[in-house]
Amino acid sequence: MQNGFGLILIMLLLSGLLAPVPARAITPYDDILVQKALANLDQENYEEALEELTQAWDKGAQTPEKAYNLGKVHRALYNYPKARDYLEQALRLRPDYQEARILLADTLVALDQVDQAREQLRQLEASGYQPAQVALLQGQAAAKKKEFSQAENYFRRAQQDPALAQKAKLEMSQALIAQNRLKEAQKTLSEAVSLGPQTQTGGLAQYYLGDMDRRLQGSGPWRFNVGVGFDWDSNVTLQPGSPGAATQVSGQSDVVFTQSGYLEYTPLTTGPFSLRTSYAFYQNFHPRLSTFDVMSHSVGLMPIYNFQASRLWVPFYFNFTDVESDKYYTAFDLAPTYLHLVTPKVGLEFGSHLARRYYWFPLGIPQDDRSGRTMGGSLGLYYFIKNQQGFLQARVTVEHDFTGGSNWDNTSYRLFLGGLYPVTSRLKLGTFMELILQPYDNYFNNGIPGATNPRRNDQILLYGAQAIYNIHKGLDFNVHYYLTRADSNIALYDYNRHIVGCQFSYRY
Amino acid sequence: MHTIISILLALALSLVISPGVRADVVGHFVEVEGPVDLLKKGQMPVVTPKVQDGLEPGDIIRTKSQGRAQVKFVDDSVLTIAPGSRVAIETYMYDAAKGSRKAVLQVFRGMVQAVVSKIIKTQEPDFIMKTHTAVLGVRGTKWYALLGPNHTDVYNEAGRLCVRNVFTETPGEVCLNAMEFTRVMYGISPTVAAPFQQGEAGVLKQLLKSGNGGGLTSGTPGTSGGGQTPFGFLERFGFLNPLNPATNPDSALYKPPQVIPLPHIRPGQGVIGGGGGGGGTPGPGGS
Repeated sequence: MQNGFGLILIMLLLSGLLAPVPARAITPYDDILVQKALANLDQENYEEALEELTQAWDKGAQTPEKAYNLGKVHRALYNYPKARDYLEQALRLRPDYQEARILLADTLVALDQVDQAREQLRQLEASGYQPAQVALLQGQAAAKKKEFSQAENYFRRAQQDPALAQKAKLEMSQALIAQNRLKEAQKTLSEAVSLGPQTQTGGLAQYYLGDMDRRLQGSGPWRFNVGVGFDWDSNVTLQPGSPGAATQVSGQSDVVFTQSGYLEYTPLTTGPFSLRTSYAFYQNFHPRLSTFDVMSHSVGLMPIYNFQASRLWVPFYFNFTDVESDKYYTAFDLAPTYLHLVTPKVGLEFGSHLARRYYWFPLGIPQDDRSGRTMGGSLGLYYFIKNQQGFLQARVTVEHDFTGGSNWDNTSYRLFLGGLYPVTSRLKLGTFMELILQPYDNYFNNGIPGATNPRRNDQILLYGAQAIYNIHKGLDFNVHYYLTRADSNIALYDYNRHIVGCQFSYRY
Repeated sequence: MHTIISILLALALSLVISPGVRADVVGHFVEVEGPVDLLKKGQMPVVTPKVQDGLEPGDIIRTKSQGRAQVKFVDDSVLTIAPGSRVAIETYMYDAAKGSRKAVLQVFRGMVQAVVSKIIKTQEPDFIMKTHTAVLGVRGTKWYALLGPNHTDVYNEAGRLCVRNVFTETPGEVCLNAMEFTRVMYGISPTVAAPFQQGEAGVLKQLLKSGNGGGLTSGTPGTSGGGQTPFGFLERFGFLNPLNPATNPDSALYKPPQVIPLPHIRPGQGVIGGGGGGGGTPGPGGS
């Protein structure tokens, strides 16, 4: 009895295990459909393949291979979310299906689901499956996360597979560019091109190489600029250090010959950081009013840090100015500035300015001591035009001068509006206007005992317009006009001034 | 004799109303290279088109990874279809006498370049291109549309076109001027118009010939014929990165300004920078 019951039980169990399960069986019909689908996949008839595979999946056995092929065909039809679902299904049905796993990782990278992609890639790394291809995908995932240094390492690893070397080099060059390692990027691009200029990857590498060469042309460590100019000045004026606040107004016109030079050297460039040094020279000559002849030297140090869409630079300058060969003015200026690109056309600029200025000319009265400190800040807005070759600009600045003499303590409020427009590749037009309100803190003292003067209050308009024409390579010619209109309640500083002239300059 | 004349007349008539020259033909193939499929009215079986074959509304053109086609429509607009693409002509109505047009094309995958002739009398967009994520409306312009897994990239080479998300509930429309680019992702408003370079236009031209670089069988090694992500490299290759003016050599702000206290007024190119202001070379004026 017991034996008979056991036998029945075994038979029941066996029948349960061996019973046909229609939904799981691979029927000849199913097999034919899959074969047709695979043939259509090969011939890139994706719509037909999808129909056949879907039918085979719905009506026949749901095998990991079918899920994998459905994933492939959905990818080809740009239906990546569905492709992901089928590839995940393939892995559920067969966890060691590495072909499906690597395709799933690639799909997840494309869908920006980088963390999930990395999980799949970690499993692939652990299994040792296609290490170079996995490294390439890891690099792409890292690049998407903006982990460019890590991406670079992965792309280096991917290059070990000759079939992937060109693509990996091209991708690595982009990771290097993102780190501002332009020279290395250039070298990597050259290597990518040399591996096959005729391939699509080679063609892209050639394009980026051309772009890189152009970039690097302007990024050598040395740069200089020289210029000579001729102007007519309607009212020769000394105004060192501050735009509107003239120190001495001649009330006379004269012609002005100018010469200038600028030398720049960048000794250090590490990734996005660079350190720049500079020297600038400026000299002018007035045939009639030689007491207004100026010679100025500036040396500077400028750390710069480039971000993805912004730049921070902290220029520090020392300036030394002679007037008629006598020491007249020295200053230290620090102007940290941050420029951020809000959109490709709109930039915001935040600036601050600290200065220590010394005026060395003899003083008639101590109240006229203009030496002192300056502190201020600015907020600017750019609107870029013509692929950033031109722009419109607005900036507001507030500064305060803390001076040794009571006559010069003041706050200035400035509104600057400017623009540069590239008419052609050679001709650029520029203009600016600056309105300055400059109330002074104290009653003006002219040194006459008992005299009562108001608090000095200046309202200054600066305007300029220029046309710059590129004659040949670095050689430019410009014509310009500048206006200074200073309305002051102190007659000494109430003046107008027009400058019109031209300049040749050469830059390298 | 009458019978012969009748047969000849019937033959002539049949030629006149033959499918190739029917009145609803809206365009012709002017170039067919490699494997290209035509699905008449969107239905199987596929036909292999030849140059000068006509196209009607409802037709679907499918190029394989080595195939390429160019179509010229009745209004002289030209559509170039890159390898690995699928395009449907939903509607195409053109009345030269009235100067009116209503064209709707759907791109399912791949890449196309469209050069659409402008019809002066129309003020509204009369040429619509739909993709899986975007709708483009134009009157006359030249642009490239590249479809990725979850986005459409639109590069406008000339003229002006406006783009919005294909889902009407997604707000925002971006209008592109010449040499501007936008990306439209699933359910997201188009990105702000960003400039692209002439060199990039060269790359696009190249892609129009080569397509995405292969179908499933010629995919990235290791993905086992899974095919590489369509135009996936564009994002990584900086096409999408907003150009930082401080790192763009074409930018007027490429070089940081030189803050030199003297003189204030300089004929430099960029009047920028904090403090004493003024970029560029020192010049006259600050006596």
